[in-house]
Amino acid sequence: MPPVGSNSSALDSFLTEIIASVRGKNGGRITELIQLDFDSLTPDRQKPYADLNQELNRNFPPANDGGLVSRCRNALPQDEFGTFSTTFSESIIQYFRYLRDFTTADNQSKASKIRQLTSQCVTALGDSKYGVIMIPIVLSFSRTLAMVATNLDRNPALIRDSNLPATQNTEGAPGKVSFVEDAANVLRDAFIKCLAGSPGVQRTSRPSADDKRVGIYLTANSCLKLLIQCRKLRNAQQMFSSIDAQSPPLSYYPAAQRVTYLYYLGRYHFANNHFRRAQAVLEKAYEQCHRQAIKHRRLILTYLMAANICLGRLPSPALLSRPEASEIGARYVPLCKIIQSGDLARFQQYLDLDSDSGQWFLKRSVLLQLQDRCEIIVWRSLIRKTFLLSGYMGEEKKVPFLRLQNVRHVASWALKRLKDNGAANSNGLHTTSNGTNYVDPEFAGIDAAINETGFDPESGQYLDEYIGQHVPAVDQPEDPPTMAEVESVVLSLIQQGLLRGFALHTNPRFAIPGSQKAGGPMRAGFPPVWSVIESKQTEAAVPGLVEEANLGSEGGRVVRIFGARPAVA
Amino acid sequence: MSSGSSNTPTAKMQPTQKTEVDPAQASKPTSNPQPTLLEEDDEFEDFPVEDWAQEDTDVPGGTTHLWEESWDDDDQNEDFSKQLKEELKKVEATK
Repeated sequence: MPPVGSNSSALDSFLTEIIASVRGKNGGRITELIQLDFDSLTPDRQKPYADLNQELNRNFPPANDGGLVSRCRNALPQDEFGTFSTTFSESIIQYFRYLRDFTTADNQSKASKIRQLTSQCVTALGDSKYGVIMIPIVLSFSRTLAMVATNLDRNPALIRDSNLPATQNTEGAPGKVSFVEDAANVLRDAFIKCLAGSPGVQRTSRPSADDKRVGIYLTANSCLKLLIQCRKLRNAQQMFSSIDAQSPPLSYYPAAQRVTYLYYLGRYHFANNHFRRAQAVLEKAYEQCHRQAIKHRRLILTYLMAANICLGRLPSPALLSRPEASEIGARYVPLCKIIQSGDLARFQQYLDLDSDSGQWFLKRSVLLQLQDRCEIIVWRSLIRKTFLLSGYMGEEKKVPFLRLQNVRHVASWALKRLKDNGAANSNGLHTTSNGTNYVDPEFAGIDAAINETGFDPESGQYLDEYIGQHVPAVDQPEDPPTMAEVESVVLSLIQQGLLRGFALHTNPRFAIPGSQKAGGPMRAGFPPVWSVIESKQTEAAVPGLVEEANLGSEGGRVVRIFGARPAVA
Repeated sequence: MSSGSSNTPTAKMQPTQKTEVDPAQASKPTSNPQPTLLEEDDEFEDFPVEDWAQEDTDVPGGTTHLWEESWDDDDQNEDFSKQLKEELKKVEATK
């Protein structure tokens, strides 16, 4: 109820305009009105908010919060606005609280108020009748919340400097979620509401401005940004499944949203060792990115290069000469050279956690994937080189072959060479130097235990006659790798199709039959890595990426069931 | 960024059939190139514009041959290869 003689009240005129906009379903106008960052406004636009701030503190200070609540609730009569009256007036109350307290609040409580406000607006978005007016508001606040949360997380000083105790633990105490993760959950709710859309709307129709589906990728991107920030990207799995099941094609959305989404989707697949999927979507992101957005292109390329290298495709000089490739190229080019050379030890050294390069890759969350996936490609190069230099190239009716003893020798030499160098500087090759005589603490006293108990490790039984009879095995003085390890690598490469031929065990060899027809043993035995992986590619669609073509042809997809909604009169 | 400055992309966001963009806006991303601070730039920031045309993604030189698919290095004068060759001679000698 407007108080008597309140014609000059800033709050009243503000509320009047808001309610008129609700009646006119003008969400854009409300978004303009409920500003959060007053500093960015021109001085003449700042004044009304300064007036409102003063008036709220004068008439409705925190001690009289109840007065503010009833003032706002009365402004939106339930008779007219139904259930939206409650959810929307709560949003407006949250906004006025923010406006009232922002001059005195610290960064964290401001952020927390923005989180509450966004959450309340998401609730209002769910209203079947008036929810549509919340679309631009929720989209705008989602971006702001993602930005504020990221900023706080990256600059802990913003919290520490405050007078209030920092209650949020960004490391995430057990059972307690960090502010970033909490904010991500709010944005996920917004995403779910957007994805649900409106009843009766066809999945393949282009979303219009008053269709909640317009916000699917904007809210998803804000949420994904925060999930990456709090290192919980794996939590995005459900979002990608929901997008697969319900979203319109990504191509219906503006370029900025497409590229951002493809970047996060690519990072998700890369983090889950799906390099082919990652490569496919990151390539789309890279191709669709604005050519002048160098910083974005560099970030995309960081992961696109990693994914391609894991798949056996190396950046070309043309790519490396692009401006966005200059800095990352400086890190990836040495890695590519090592992969080409087959220098196992340099590979381990270059990706060692203690090295500068290892730290660089770690910081970008690509280190473990490169270590794990590229090692086998380095082995392939080493075996290939060893074949080239010491293999039997074959004659008519005689099959070319390589003695695996040669491979074992050069691998051992390469690793030892580095170990000797590594001893000089303390950053040695941990995996190898410790790996040779490493005994798990669980088995530390095994020999003494066997002697005492008569345990037979072969059968798992306790035999009395074994007690006191056990002779501990003497450590093999052989340098790693053992022949068994070399054989295992060769067999793994054959199994993956990266070596073509067969292995002999009794006189250990790798042999390449049919090489004459295939243009010699090198071509026959060592197909290019990328061509092998590419030929095994059977997956047509990448999970999380909705393309128009896939929707049309796959009538049997589960999506159809989700899409089937009762017709609305 | 304020909610106000986010209004522009929101208003522009309605997906429509036409994709052409105001050229003045489309060229905005580089009007103010940022210094490249590697340690700071691992965040995928919001794009300054919401949409752009296919032509704005074209890079001088085209997209041909960005990746080497056959990269096997047969250069025996490369340092590691030379040492490898010496090492393999030792193996042959011990036979």
